[in-house]
Amino acid sequence: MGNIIGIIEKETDGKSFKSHKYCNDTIDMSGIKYDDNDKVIWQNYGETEQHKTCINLKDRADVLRNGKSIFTYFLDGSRHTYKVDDISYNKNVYPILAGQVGIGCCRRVNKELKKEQFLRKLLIVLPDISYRDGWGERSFFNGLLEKINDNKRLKDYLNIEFSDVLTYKRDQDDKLEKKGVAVIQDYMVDLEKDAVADLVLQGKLDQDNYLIKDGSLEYQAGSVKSKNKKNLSDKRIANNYKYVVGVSKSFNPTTCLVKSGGSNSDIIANLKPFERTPAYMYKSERSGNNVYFVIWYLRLRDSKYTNNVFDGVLKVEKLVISEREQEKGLDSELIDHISANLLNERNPVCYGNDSRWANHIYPIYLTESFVKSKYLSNNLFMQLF
Amino acid sequence: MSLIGRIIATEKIPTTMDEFYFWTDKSLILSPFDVVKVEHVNNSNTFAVIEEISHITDCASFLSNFISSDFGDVNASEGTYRIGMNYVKAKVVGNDKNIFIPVQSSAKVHLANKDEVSIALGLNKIKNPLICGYLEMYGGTSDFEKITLPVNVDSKFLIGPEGAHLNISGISGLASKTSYAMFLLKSIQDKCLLEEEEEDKEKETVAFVVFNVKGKDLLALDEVNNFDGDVEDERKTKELYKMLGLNTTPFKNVTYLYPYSNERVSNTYAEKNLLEKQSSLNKAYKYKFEYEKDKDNLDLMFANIDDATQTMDSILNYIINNQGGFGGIKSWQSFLEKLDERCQAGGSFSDKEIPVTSWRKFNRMIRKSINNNKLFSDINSDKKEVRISDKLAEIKKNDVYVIDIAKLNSDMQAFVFGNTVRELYELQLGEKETTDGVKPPDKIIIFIDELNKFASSEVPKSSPILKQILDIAERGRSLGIILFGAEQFMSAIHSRVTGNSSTYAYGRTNAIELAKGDYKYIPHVYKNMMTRLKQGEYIIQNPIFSSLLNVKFPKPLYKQFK
Repeated sequence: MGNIIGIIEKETDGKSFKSHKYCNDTIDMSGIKYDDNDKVIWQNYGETEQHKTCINLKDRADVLRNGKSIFTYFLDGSRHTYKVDDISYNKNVYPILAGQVGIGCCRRVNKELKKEQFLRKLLIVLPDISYRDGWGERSFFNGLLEKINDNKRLKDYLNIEFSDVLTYKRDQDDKLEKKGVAVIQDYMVDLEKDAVADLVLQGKLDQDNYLIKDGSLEYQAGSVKSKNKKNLSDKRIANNYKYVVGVSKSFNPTTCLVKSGGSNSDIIANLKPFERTPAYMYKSERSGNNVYFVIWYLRLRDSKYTNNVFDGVLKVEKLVISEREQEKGLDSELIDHISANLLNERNPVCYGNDSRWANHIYPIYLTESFVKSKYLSNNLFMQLF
Repeated sequence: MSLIGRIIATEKIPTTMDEFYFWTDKSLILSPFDVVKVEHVNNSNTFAVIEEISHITDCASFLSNFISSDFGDVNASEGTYRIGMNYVKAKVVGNDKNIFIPVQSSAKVHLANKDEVSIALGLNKIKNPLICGYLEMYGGTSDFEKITLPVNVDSKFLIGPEGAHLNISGISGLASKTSYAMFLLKSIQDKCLLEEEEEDKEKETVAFVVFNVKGKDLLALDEVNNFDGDVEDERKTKELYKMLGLNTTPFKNVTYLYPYSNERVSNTYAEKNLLEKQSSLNKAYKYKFEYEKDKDNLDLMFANIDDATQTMDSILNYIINNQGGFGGIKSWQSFLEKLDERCQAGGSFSDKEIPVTSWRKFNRMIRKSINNNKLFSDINSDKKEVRISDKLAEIKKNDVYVIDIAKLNSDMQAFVFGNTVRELYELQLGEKETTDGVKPPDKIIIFIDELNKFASSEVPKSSPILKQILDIAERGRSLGIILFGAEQFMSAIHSRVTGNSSTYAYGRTNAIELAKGDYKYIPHVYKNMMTRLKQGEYIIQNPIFSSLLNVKFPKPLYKQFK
């Protein structure tokens, strides 16, 4: 048994309960899923051409088939969260959470994936009441982090280091544990944003080298440590996303409302293989002021082979950057090009390895597997506490 | 870069003292028998030989692959290649600091350099080195130099006294069994001649007796191979011999013993001019068998006869002991006449313990071989006619005797082979005197192809030839008679003969043979390799090698008949 809890108990004057440790989830919860935001309303056409029907891109995809894909980089972030103990402060009991966050980015060269960057962060999340002295919270938790990392077992034997001690707020009306998990989630999103910024800084993204980000780009405004950092509403940050496409494999089409009323699920359900829906503009409420996305759906596989009619459909998302785009929508030509290239990602599939095979695109699946392979085992991680 | 991969150790497939797995790039070309080096604890290196190479991808099932082709579209292409790797099974052969704990997960795996390969396979510490071929490694790795390494065997483990006898197996034609045996014999002769030049008196002396069982194969061992005029081939072959430290000449001191032939009946495939040439150089003799001296070996004619009641045996004893007037006979004709008398019904012989019917059977069988056979006649030494036995008594160190039996029928082949082996056995036992009273060579190596004719597991147990061969297999090591036997299928040979061999050379063979118990201990992949070995390639097993070795040998330097 580790004694991290002991250190926390001592440093924060709490009382540990040595309660049952468990892992919250071992499944991937990467990104923010479309379906957790039920206020999506398709506003206007999001592209220059006003298509009335779905667009078949099979021929276009076939032409591109033997050339180099525009997608070179693939980004995936994931996290495992754990409830490691309960601790009491002022006679109230609060959960202590911990997490492993992994961000992996792979580069495709000659149809083979290579590692571009990888980050693994180990986190501890405490209730904010664990620090009760008012100001100077950050330096207190940095000090606590140092003491935890100084632990002989971590340092000398396992060579493991925690990256941060974070806090969750007690004052919101939600389950405490869920709030802790949200902090870890936000931390992961921050790392994802950093990874994109990094690629842009190195000049790696351009019109021939796009990045596919697994999941939605609709990030919550602000970062874990500052409300105003890394917001998509910041034009400099938004510019990073010029060559980034968010591809979500799970979404809830019944909650995607059309402006004129009703749901668009029918359009998606009726998509034929290799067709895309017209693109719509969508204004995000959660990502900050004036943040617009262009969204469209693309069917990779015939629904006759899949479990339900929405399997085999990808939700594609691109951040609107310029005012011109906001006004006239994305160039339909670009949307077709991106879609055709995405269609060519339909093979190979991870059938048999992942139940979401029909919606998964293989390089993302590989990136995800790469990130997962780097996690500490759940048992080992929980034993640290 | 010599770094090619990392060790994999999982719960289900751990690394062990004997073997481990490592992953490597799917495009890296490795072969079974290649040596790898693994970084191990205490700065030591563990060496291993590759046994099996597999390729895997993350494709969960066949169906997954089908789906990945747009549900069965044969023209479908993929945007990303499936993640795949090769994983390699390797057998541990040693550690340079004698550390035998299993190699650790993620340890670095390298290709080895020439010296390391030598250490790994135990080739660097071989005493009494005798070339038995060369090995090539890493031929397919573009950024790593191909290694060509001469392979030596400790001669004491090949021709005694530590271990003796060689068994070569492989299918006809494709395995080049005879060529390989001849290569080894040449290597031994070269070594002995060199030692003689250096006047190394301590060294053992060796002579060779070789049976020619097929066409004219071995009837020009001392003539040069002209490589059909292919100069490049000749140059390359000679270079290989030089690399191996052997000289580029054919055999020396060769004597040919042909079965006697006259103008009308030829008992050999050798052409007249070849015979005349060799005869004029005093290298060729014709052998015959004389009644008085060779009747003791008559039992050898019954090698393949089941003699459950031992009546044939009794008759042979009767004759050999000169009973019933068989002692006074001087010629084979008289012998046959005498036999005829015995076969008469109601003959007036005092001893009746052997029934007439048995005599008749004996007579029939003897006549089949002897009657009208010019080999069974008196010797005319002026015409270079000899008894094999007498000629063998003259054998000196470094001599190569080629005894031609190719054209004889199988009973006669058995008789000649049995006779030769028996004489050599007695010579080495000291029961027989050499012509000039000089001690015979310390070792006499006998090479016989188609050993299955004489020592098959189906030969009757009473067969005198089998008994002779078993004697050699079991006691020859200490007596100095070494058997180099070759056959198509090792499984067909008497287990006491193969079991007593110290060295095995496996040439190309077939899957049916490999399914037999004799090959049980050989790893699956090596077995498969045996079905694909090229001409001039052998898999060698010898107690001093830490693993089976895949060796090659150069083409023969003596004349080849097409």
